[in-house]
Amino acid sequence: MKNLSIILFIVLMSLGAVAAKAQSDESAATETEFLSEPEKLVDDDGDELTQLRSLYTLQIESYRQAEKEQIIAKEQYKSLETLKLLEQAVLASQKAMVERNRVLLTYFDLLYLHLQYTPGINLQYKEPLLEDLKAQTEELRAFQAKVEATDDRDGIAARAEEFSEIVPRIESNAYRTLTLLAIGKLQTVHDKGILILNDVKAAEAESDRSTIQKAQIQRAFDQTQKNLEDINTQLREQNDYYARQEDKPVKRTFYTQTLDRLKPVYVELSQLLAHLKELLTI
Amino acid sequence: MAQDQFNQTDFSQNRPMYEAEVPLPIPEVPDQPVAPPNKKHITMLIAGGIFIILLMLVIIFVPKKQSPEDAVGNSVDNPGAAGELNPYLERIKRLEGELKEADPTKQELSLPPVDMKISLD
Repeated sequence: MKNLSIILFIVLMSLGAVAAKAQSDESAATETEFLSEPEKLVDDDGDELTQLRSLYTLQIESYRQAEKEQIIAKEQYKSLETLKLLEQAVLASQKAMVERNRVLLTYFDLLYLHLQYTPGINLQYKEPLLEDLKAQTEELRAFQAKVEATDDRDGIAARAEEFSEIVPRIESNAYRTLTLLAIGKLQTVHDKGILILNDVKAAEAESDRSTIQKAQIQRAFDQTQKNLEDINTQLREQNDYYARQEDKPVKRTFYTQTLDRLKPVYVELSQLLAHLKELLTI
Repeated sequence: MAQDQFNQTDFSQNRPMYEAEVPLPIPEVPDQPVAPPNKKHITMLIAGGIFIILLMLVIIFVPKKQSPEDAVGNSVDNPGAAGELNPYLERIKRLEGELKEADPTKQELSLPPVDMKISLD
């Protein structure tokens, strides 16, 4: 009697374990599926991008260290003003400038790759900007060579002055790229939404529904089509806004304003995807 | 006197010798019949065990409650474009992932956090 109870208990525990494992396997599979879905738009050339990201992270770390050392060396020199401390401060400043340039060079390489491989960006804007990014990289490389050759106080002061003239171009190119990337990503979702809608329409055309059902689904198609057109109009307005600023240097506010204008587009695209899903159930 | 009364040695010595000890009568206990195993109890236990096993099997193999997305995925098999619409649902899900990355409030690649004014002065 007692043995029977023990056997039953063991059987139940085993079944419980199997059930728990089955449940956890299922949930893990679902999780993996959803993690792997939102892949980056630009990872077709994955290796280069991954390497650049790793390099960028390392360079940021090196820069932070160099920046700390430069601040300490500068403070020490300012408090004691000895020649030895001046030498140390010059070297530390030069090193910090070199590390900063490395970070910026890699950053622009990343921007270039993202811009190049992100679909949905009007080529009319994309190609000139890619050229600008190339030119920006060249300018930073030339500046880097000058910084590496600098070894005295006046030289550091001159490099600081020169760099202050480069900064507006750096910011402008970066924010213009980020603006186009933000528009392009949403445009891509919109364009793919159109393709899905057209394919669903084509499949529906072959179905044999009643006239009433066909009329119902046609109204749903029309509404979804209208929503897509509204979104496209808003995206076109953002492109026009960009075009008006294309030849002028832009600042961070230009980018943040564009992001603010894109928020309603994002919301409408979310709604559109929900409608597309709903279409499949009618 | 009082000591003599409580002397246990004297007491045992004064015990009558060669007197056979009279065994005390042992009460006869009638043999109790061994209770037969409670068949009803075992049957209940086995039935309970089988019920729980069946319950576990049902939990494992019966499909879980469908999420709204699953419901959409299954229901698309029924209407007009029968069997052709599931790939569309997959595409929509992928697109949702892309939309998530395009969220204007979560843009990556912002300008690196570097000091643009490094100098000695």
